[in-house]
Amino acid sequence: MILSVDPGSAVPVYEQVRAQLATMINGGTLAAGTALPTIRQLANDLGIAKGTVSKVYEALIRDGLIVSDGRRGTSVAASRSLLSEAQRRARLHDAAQQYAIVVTQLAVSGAGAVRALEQQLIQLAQDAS
Amino acid sequence: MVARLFILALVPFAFLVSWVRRTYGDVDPRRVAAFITRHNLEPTDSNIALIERALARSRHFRATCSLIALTSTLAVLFSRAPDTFTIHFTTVFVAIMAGYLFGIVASENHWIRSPRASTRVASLELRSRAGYRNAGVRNGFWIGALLALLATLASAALSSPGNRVRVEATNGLLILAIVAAIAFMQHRIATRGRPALPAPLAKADNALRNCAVVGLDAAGASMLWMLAALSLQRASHHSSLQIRGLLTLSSIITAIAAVAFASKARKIALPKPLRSRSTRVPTSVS
Repeated sequence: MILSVDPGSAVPVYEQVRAQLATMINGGTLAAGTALPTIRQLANDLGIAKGTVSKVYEALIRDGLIVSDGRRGTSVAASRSLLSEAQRRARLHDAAQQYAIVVTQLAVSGAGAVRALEQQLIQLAQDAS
Repeated sequence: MVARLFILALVPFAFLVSWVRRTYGDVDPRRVAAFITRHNLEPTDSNIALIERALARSRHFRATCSLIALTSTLAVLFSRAPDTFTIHFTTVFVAIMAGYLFGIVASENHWIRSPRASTRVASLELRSRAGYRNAGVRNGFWIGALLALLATLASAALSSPGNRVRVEATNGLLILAIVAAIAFMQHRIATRGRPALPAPLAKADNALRNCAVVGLDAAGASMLWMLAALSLQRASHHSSLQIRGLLTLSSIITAIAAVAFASKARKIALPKPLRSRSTRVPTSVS
């Protein structure tokens, strides 16, 4: 399982890491009980601040996707509380808004943006299978 | 007479040249082969290059730091009491091992680099200090720490109050400092940054981290066992005749254990070349 971050992107690093981890957990790529790297390790590997990774983990704990158990570290939650329809719509709206910002900054056409999104969806589906 | 003096001077000089050549020269490819075999790694080009570089750097730092620690310790001891200056085996041993520990830390710090690439990738594989430790050496480390603390307490209880107790208190603090520093450094080595790598290279990197973490445990254990031996020796000086022999014997046994751990630390850092004549230097598969 690979996590990638582009510090030059318009999307904040925090959101890039959070979104990828949430996608992996919700998509089943990261199984329940899988141990996650420590905050220090992930921050060192990605060359980002420990505070950023800590914020990501706190957000994922709040969403019920991961659990932190003191000395045992952080792992994917066994029973994940599914998001409500309203929460899902709000999360999708936020992500779409951020994607739209990047598309506008890069001056990419609407069709090009949709094509890139479709390619990513296909890629994710292939990775998960 | 002159010829004899010349030969006498030549022997240490030849020894020094050989030591410098072995320490700062290229790593023997058979040692790289031994490392690859011991850790069951794939002999790819990138793996061989990484291991050669890591073994050479680790050997340079360990040897240089040990030498600096030894010479500076002897210089300080000599400057404090030039008239009564004597070289004790234990002083030399503890100084070399302290330098050796510092060498491991220095060579590992050299690898710590922040990623600079525009897109940074990381694996989600968990790397922990516990995962890199060897159970046998780890137990030796903890037993050494416990033994050193108990020996220090025994020495403090047997000695007369005043200056000796202060020495034992300093010794106790030194033991705790060694344990804390080693735990901290092992944690740092385990979590040092690494981008997502191809599986064979990641495995080689894990093997190198394993060597550093186990090396710290072994070098730390040797220091702790030697400190325990020193405390037992001090305790025997203040004890009654009935238990003096027992304490002296315990001191000798713990000192032997300390030397064994030091030897283990060296073997972990630089594996001996494989003895079998049929063993070949690994050739690249990629």
